[in-house]
Amino acid sequence: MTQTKVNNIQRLKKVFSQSLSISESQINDELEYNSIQQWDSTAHMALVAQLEAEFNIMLDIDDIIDMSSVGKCKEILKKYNVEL
Amino acid sequence: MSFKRLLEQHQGIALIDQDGSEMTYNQLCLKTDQINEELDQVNNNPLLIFILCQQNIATVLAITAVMRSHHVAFLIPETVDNSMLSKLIDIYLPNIIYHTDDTSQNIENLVNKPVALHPDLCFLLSTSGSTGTPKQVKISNSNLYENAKSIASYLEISKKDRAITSLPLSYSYGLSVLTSHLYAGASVLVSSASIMTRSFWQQIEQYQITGLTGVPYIYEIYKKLKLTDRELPSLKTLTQAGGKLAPELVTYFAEYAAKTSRRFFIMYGQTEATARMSYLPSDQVLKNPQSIGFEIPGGRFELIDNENKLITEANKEGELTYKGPNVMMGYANNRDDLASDEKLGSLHTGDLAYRDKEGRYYITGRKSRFIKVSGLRINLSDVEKFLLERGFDSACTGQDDALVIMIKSKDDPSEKVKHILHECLHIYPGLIHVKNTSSFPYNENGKKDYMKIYQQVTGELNNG
Repeated sequence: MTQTKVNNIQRLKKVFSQSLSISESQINDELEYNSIQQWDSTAHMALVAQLEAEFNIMLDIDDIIDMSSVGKCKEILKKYNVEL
Repeated sequence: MSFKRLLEQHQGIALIDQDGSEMTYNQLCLKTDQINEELDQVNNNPLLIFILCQQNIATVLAITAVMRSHHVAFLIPETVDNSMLSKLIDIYLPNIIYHTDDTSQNIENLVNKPVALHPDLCFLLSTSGSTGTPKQVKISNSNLYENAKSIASYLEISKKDRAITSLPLSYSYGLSVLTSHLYAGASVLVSSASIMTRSFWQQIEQYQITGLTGVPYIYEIYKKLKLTDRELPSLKTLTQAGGKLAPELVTYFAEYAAKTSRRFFIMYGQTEATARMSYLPSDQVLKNPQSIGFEIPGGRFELIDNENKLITEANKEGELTYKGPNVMMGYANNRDDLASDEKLGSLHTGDLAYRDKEGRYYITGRKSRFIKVSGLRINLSDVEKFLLERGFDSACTGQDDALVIMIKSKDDPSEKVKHILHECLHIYPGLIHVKNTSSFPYNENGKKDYMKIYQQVTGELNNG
């Protein structure tokens, strides 16, 4: 695993933890949108904004509504050349 | 006329499940009759029912069954915090809890003691969205019927229209979308899909939804999701309520509506008026983006000045009061309050407003201390009380979508406070601003100076 990849995974966890107000230990690839109370539509908007700021990208609408889990989010970010 | 008889007269499709299965008005009546037979077997008296609401067919059937019966239902979101639910059970002693999961056994017997219920009472609705107080709004059968009738009339809802349950059914606006469409003999897609998901937008197209609804933050999401770039050939009408939408968003969606021959209505109301008090006609939104429009059919606003005198001239500010057949029966704080109708006549909204020469109304501020956070009405005094019960001496202020809290404490309790407000009152932590202090700023009357508190916590002036 490259250092960039390790860093990016850490950055991603931090973004999720901050925007959903959950602890980093709760974050895994299987965590799904709306499966926990904290990940609701308001938090999803905050998540999108923070992802865009953290990785300096602009997410497409289709990607925003497809981002249904942490795993899915990683897949999507890869499309934007974020090494994960 | 009542919903019981009206629904029997409608034909065609009433409800569509998100799996595609359809239910006609005839089937809806039969199904709800069945539920009412089961309820009548619990004991022979009218029941007080807690319905734990989800966005599913079982919930819509339970709600509609109650509308067609002499029972009374307290509509509670299924996501309610457990300690809050037990508190409400202790205070209201419901006869049964109606579960809306996909199980055959919905009814949980709880308290056998008969309850004195006013014969007109139909629903108990939460006033503050989530502030978690036991105080509830008493809605009568005729409140519900008149509110639905008025909305169906000014929105011109027809049998061809189809709504989607994107707002919680336990929320007065969400409930009014259901009732106004049932009133008109239209159909409703009962969907649990969040607007943030692909399946929601697929459902809009697949089931040819004609109307979308939203509180202000939902409109921010619509904009972010570029609703205006989507084809959505079936979409005819957008409605907005549940707080003041930022003027630039009003203009944005009004321009979209004008360009695409759709309708966009700004609406105003309160749970205390079942849902709706005024609306701004679609063709006036671009010119008057700040206005809440005119009274709904059957309703009447009055403006009252500080000396309790009626304001008759235009452009003069006063407290907005409302009269109409949808004004609640009063508040309930416990089981004993369910037998009475306070016959309020007029409703003091707590909002300050003025009227222009053409009769349109404009909200200028709030007389009482409420803000809206993510569409939830938050009573700031209730939040202070809530925090005090948990050991935090606080002063709460803010504006829409910014809850500002000062805590008297040596160390910084921000994370703890945000956590419990999120956990118990479902307020999104990103919209809460907390700072600790050794002493609160007071004004010359010895009252907490909320303006200073706002400035000290946020470092900004409160323009809200």
